[in-house]
Amino acid sequence: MNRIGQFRIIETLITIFLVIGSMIIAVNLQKVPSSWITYSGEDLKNMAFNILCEISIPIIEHEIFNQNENWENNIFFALNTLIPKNIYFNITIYEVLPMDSNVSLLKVVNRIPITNVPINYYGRIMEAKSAIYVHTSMDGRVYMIVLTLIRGGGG
Amino acid sequence: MKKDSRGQLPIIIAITLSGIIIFSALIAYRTSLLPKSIESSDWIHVIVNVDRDFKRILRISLANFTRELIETGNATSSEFKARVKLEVWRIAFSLGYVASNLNISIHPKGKILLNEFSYTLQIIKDGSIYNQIINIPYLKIKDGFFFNYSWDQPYSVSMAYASINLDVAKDGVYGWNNSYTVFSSINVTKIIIDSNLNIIMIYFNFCTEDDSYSKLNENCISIIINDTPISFDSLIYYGLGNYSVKAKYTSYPQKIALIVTDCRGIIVVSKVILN
Repeated sequence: MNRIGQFRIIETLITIFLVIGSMIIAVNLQKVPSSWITYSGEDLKNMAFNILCEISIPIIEHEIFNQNENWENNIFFALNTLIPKNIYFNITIYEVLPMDSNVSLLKVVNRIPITNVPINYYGRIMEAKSAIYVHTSMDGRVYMIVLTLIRGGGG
Repeated sequence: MKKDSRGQLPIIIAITLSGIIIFSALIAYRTSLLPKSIESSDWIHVIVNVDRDFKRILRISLANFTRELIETGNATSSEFKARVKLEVWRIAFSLGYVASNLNISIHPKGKILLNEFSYTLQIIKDGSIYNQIINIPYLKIKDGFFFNYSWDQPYSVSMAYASINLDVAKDGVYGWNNSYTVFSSINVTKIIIDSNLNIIMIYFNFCTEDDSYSKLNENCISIIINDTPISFDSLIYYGLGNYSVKAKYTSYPQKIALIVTDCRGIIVVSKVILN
């Protein structure tokens, strides 16, 4: 009887260990591996595209149309305000010029780079994503705007 | 032996229960995490960009068409030149989203914009009221054309219609399509002529497919009376696209043409012949 009682206790302990062990494994499986690692690439791309959608008419078209002396700087300051400080940006504006019925030429419109990426920073880039936005201005010119957002490794 | 096998029952239940718990956790893990991590939003960007920008290029092309038409009077060459703008836009778009393996096409499918109708144009000459019934035939853009106009009536319109088809092969999105209409119309509703003061007042309703009907100003309007352009004194806006324009004429008005260039550059010409 004693031996049977001991077996029962051992069986109960094994049962408890099995159930608790499986629950621990389940809980560990439920942990999402750092969500920003999974989503940050798409997040950067979506952020870049949303910014382009919002600024294409009120800022970029306005600045290109008016052609103030420092219009590139105005776009720079606008982006510097809109984009979080831990993300670097680089924007390039191309005008699509028709050459032939099926051939177009891309001409860079901005005279100076519009970016806040520090010099010699490219080695430390962890992640960079670009979004493209095609914008037609009121005078019928077609622009292709490329905004690259960069998440760096600090330093 | 019998007692031993009965004792293994809790362990068997525990193993089964553990299996169920781990299996459920695995299923939850896969369904909640994996599909999101491979989801691409590029095709959404393409569609948002097309939807926002195509209407702009269609408006600009219509403005180009009407400007060319008023200068040359040739609808065929005006249509051809306006189509070039649409084609440049299409190439720019294909170029911009080349990484998405984009296939974009613009089709001139034609559309009936307005069914035939009639309305009364009120003409007041020195206090006497005359009603003129205006019959407007149905207005359509023919299949194979993007643009059309009707400028010979008191009700006049400039219009464009295009259908767009889009495949984003990279993300497996095929067959997205949408169609867009752009138009500007004028409806001359009342004309008051005072032959003692040589003053004419033209009341009209201006209509567009968007909210730009309220944005006319003095620079947008010109009046031609008996083939002679005249300057006007005032433009009054009454709301909901209703305007009146007051002008002084030199020769008694027989043929009146009201030319409106809206803030988008689309021109529309309305003509009234007084009996």
